[in-house]
Amino acid sequence: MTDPGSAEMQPESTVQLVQRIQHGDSVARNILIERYFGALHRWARGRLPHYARHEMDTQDLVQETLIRALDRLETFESRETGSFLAYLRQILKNRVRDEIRKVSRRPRNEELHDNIEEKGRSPIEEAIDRESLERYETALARLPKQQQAGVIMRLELQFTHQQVADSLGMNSANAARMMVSRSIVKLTELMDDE
Amino acid sequence: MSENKQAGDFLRLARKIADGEEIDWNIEEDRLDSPRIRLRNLKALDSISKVHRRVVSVDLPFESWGPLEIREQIGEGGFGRVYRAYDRNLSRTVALKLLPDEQDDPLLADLAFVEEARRLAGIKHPNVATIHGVDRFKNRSGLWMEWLDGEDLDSALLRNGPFGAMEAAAMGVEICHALAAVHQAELVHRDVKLSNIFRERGGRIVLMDFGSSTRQCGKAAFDDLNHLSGTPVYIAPECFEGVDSRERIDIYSLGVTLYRLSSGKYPMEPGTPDAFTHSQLAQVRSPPGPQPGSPGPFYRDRRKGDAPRSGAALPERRRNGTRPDRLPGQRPHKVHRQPSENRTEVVPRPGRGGGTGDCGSRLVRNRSDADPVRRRCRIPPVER
Repeated sequence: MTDPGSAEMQPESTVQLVQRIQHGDSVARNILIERYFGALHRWARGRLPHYARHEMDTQDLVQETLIRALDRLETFESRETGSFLAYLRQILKNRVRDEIRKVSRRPRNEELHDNIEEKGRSPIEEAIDRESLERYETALARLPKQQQAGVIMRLELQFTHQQVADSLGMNSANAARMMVSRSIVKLTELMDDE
Repeated sequence: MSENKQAGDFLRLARKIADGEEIDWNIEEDRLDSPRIRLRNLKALDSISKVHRRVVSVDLPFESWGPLEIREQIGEGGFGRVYRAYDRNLSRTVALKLLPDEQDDPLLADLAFVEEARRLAGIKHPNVATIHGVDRFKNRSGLWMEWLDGEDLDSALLRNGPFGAMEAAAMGVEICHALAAVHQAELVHRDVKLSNIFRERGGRIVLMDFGSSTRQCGKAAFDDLNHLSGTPVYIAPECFEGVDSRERIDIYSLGVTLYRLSSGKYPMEPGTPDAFTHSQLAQVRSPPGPQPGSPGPFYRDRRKGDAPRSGAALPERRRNGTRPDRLPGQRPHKVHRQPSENRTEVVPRPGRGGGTGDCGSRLVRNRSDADPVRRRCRIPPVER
């Protein structure tokens, strides 16, 4: 918990918020939702192809995933900095994958949906080849949790350096910037090992 | 190359990626003597960051809205936002206009929005944007219309400068046809300007944005200067005095539009709102003479050679209909070659709502009928 007498109003780190939520603190729950919801919503949108989006709004999908993850927090034991975001990203990734599978399996009315736009890939898949994406995912999973979270927040969720520092409980934006830069270098090495 | 130098170069590029800076990979690939595969990995991470930045910067209200999938925002204004959307049922791209979610009076805003859609639906003309539907989903009202591929005339003007006389005249003819159709549907557009006129890639001219329009026989769009709708430099001077000359407001705006289209200038340069209002009112009392660089082909009064007739400050001196009767180099149509003494000049009658009580937008008017009372009148004058 933050010291109420502390002169600096530094936002609570995600680890601190997770601990408060585990003790039934609904305010902390709202702060955490506020911190990640918008960014995760956009993140998920980048990973859903157009044809899969109409079945369920990405907004609903992320909201449902986030609430479900928070409801299960009592079973979440890791206190390592960055582990909650990695956990959240993983279950959202699985949820997005399930949604794509579900929509793909459903018989589609070809007369209605044969437009070329409907057969597209997700924006992320359109920009990066599948092989690079897989090597990135595997290397990311091998990074220490804090570095993993730093890369996810900065590169994927587009948090500012200050937001990364706040979420990870770091002293300054510059410290977060250095940590993310070093993590990127480390990632290129780990991607080599594939 | 030492390992330290290589590590330093990698960290420098990694910082650039972390900071979201642009990297010229052609230069870096030439400069760095690093293993190709690691540079390729760095490039992949840069791409990952870039694509997320692009996705994040698109702030859409919903993924889908009713039958439409929202793809990207293409415009914004006081009326709300316009998006490129995709109609799944009909497999076609459309333009979706969504009302803002926060309204002072949501019910009134919704009614006005539906009214706008209905007004637009009442006009069937190739030079007027076609509406496909209006509805309310997810607590947001929206209307969707045909997707236009091209650019508005204001953007075209800014990009390429004024249009040549013949091109401007040809577009002017189409704008006049569009406005004639609007007036024939007994509507007043009230916001005719270059940015509300679109030119599709094939050259089709389309009048759009009916958010300010009203019915000719309906209540005036303004009660005082605070309720004027439209864009100041395009607003007819009498509006600043609270006179609603109905479709003649559009005729004035049309004159300004055509003037700007062919000269790149406004008949009056916009200044501060107060100064502008003052100058507009002054224009009512003293119409300006010809300005240097004024457009040649349009509406110069053949009798006096001064102000363009459609842009005349006094509504009664303004051309009544929007049918283009003459292209540069063409002989005028006979139907409009009436002796000037037989032309009907319509003066707003005091005590009759300021309106002319006349359907001034008819394509062919009986101009020889000098008595305004005997003129054919389809819409009863509005009583105060």
